[in-house]
Amino acid sequence: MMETSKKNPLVAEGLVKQFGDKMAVAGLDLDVGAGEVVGLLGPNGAGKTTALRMLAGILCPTKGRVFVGGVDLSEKPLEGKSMIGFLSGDTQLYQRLSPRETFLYFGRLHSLSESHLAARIDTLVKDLEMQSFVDRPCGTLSTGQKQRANIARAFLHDPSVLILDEPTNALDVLSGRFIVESIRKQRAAGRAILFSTHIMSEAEYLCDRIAFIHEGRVVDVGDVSMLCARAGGAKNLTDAFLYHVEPSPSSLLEAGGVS
Amino acid sequence: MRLSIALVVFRKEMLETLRDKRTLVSLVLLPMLLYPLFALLISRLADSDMQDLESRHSRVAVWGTLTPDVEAALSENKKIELFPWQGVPNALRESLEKGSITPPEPPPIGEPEPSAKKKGVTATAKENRPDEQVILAARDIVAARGIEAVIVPYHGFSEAVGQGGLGRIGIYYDSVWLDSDFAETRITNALARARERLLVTREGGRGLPSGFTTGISATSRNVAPDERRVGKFLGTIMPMMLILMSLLGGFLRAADMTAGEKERGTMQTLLCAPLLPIEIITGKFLTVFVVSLLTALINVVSLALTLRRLLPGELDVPMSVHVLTFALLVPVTFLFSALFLAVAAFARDFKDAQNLLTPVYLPVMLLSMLTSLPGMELSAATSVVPMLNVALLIKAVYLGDVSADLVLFTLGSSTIYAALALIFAARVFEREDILLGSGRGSIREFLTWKRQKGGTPSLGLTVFGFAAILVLTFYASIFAEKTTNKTALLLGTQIGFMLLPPVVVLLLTGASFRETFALQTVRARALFGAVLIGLSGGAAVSALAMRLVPVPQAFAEKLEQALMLDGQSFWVLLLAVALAPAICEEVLFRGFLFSGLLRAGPVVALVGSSLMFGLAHGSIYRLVPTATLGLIIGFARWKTGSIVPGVVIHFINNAIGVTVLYSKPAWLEKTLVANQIPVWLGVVAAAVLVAGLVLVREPMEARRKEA
Repeated sequence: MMETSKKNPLVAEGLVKQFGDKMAVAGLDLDVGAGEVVGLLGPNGAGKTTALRMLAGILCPTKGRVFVGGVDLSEKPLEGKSMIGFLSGDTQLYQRLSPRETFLYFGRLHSLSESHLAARIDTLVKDLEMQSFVDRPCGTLSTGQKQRANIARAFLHDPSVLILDEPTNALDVLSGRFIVESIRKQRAAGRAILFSTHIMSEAEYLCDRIAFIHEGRVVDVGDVSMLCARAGGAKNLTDAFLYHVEPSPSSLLEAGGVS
Repeated sequence: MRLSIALVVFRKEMLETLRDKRTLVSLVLLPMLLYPLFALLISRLADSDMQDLESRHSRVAVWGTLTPDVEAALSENKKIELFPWQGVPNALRESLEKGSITPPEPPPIGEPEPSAKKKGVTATAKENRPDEQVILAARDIVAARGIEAVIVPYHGFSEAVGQGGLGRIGIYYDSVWLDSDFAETRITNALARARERLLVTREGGRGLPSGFTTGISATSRNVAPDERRVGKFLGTIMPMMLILMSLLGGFLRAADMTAGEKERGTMQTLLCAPLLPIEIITGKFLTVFVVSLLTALINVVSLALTLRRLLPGELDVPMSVHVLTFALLVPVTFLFSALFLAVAAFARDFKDAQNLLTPVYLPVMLLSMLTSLPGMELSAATSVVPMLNVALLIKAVYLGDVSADLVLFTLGSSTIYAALALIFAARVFEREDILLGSGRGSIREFLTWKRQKGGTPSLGLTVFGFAAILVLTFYASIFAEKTTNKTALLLGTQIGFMLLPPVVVLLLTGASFRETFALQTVRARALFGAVLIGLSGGAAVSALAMRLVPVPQAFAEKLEQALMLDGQSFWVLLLAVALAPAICEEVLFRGFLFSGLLRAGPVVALVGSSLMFGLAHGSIYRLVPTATLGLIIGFARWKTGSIVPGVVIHFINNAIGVTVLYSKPAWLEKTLVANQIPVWLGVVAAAVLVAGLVLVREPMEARRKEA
């Protein structure tokens, strides 16, 4: 299985992350194929964000390896990172720069040529309908506008892998739907997409496969019907999820619950 | 590291900076307001002091004979007390009585009239100093604060005034001392009254030519030296203000670009782009540095304009002083840009960053306040204290009292501290937990001492170690001044500062003594090479160095005196001046420092350790020869992987020096040409040196073959 999966655009092998005494991620294996959307579902504190940060090369794993397009991220971080588009609640925009200036900045950090960069910005501005605010300082934009600019920033260098940490968080229904549709377009373009969410309906609608993560480990992975079948014949995704993460009410309270 | 990427970061940071009103205010507006305001405040304060001055008496020495009318006019002001011939040196009194001193000319036509603010001509103007002797004598007596001013009715004053001629009188005072300044005003006013009455008497009596009405020509002479007048005001307050203001811009930027970025959630955005931590830190460091430099520049310009516009005449600072001041601010801003950036990186948000940076900023304030203390001057010791050295150097620049030695020391040590701060910052930025601000990367955790198993000390520890030794030496020198036993002092310095610190560091870190101090045996061949180098190195290097940087006779004598340790016996000298340094200095420079620096490559180790070796020997005249010798010994250390050849070379070299200075052989005196080693001897020594170098070079190769 390892042999075939290494060819996938995104592969994680036995990822472990330890912060002092606390084990945030305890041996996580995962792979995402080209043109596939994999959803990461787990309660708060399950290690989702830490796992995604390691996969994006922002955190170094204590143990284990990440391969992006076959490149070991710890050996060639720059090469690996240039193939990843990362977006999370913590990837904010520079308040005093406009979206266009932000794109120019990140395009240059990715060593894109100026002409290619300009063309790429034009395409994204059109695709994500940002014409009305692309030259205004990011500090003056609405939450929805900011998230579009943020998505464009993650898509800018045409990465083959997209890692999105709760991209629709705090967005209204309309903006959330717009983002979800943009992700679907990226899947159609053949990108490997890994994203985490708390919204079950969104996961069902968007994901080819879903991985349940609990206490730093992937406890089950598959499509919705498989997951339901393996969770003692759960009726829907929510029940299947609760089957894995809800061993006792007290520990659920401790973990902070599922929103 | 890719410089182009670091520059992309730098450009973006600068763009953001220029759009940040907070930074712009601290960068431009504040200094533009501060210095004029400060100057106005100073003059206002001086005015309020006037009230108090009015009530005080002015004690005036009179070196000469006044006419009864003039004396009466002076005494009319009840606050003026006259003291005939008070404090005049006998020789000067004789000259004055004989009339052999020419009175100074009054200011030329077109010069501003003497007034309360701008007085007379500058006593130090070269073209008008016939009364030099009087100025110097008056300066002494005024400086002693016994009297406020001296008036000198020049030879024939009474006669000239009495017979309708021109009587010349000089007023000598110190403009920097307010009481003296005030006394001058009182005297000038009194003399003006006397003159008016004289004119009335003269003109009432006879009709005479117009030159006659001048009656009395009073010339005020400021006895404070030019540089001191400027320096007193500038030297005490300006270094502090300039440094603090220059750092303020960098302070705010550093906090904003690290903690501010974390707070706004943009740090992670940056981290997901394909760039190395060193590229981020370089870009951000450049920004803080440039912003600090710009702030420094604007501050210096604002100060220069203020002095020219608001305090003209009294404070005439040449352009070169301002340029030099700015140049001196460069290493300080460099050091603190790196330090601020590194410390602020630990903070969770902007406010937290200000809390963390304040402990860094406070010592800066205290140190720069120290500069305003009297007697706080740049010395070999203070020139290695970070920040204080530059503050004192700026003070020295304004006081017109700078020595090349100390400038070199200050810049040298400042560069080391700056490099250290930059290494620290780079290390901080390599820590993901600190950058992501997950709250787990505390300063304490970062600084926790991690014991290593064997090996050599890290690069950062090595540079830090050297800096720490320099600072330690400063504090020790305060106590050492009281020590009279020079032999004990020299041995104490060798053991306490050269040998002990590396040993303590190794004990603390757990690094290997054998590896760090390069305690390896060497082959006889290498030892023989070391002996040859020891015999020839000093002569070869001196022959060249003495021609490049001639050593002043006074310096050579002082050094010789210091090395002779007040006439100790030959064996004591050999122990203290040759053997102790050969062991202690080699352990520090070719052991600890060389091994640490070797991690960055042999070139860094060779150049770095020999520069430190040169710097530690304390004078610009010794820097070149000592560093060259350090380079040669370093080469032996590198090639043999052992400290032993270095100890041998160092011992023989110093022993030759001691022997020569002790016995002063007659043949040597004859051989030296104008106190220099003749060319032929230099060439012979160089040849022996090369042979020695070839010999020490061999064993390493042989050893590799064996392996």
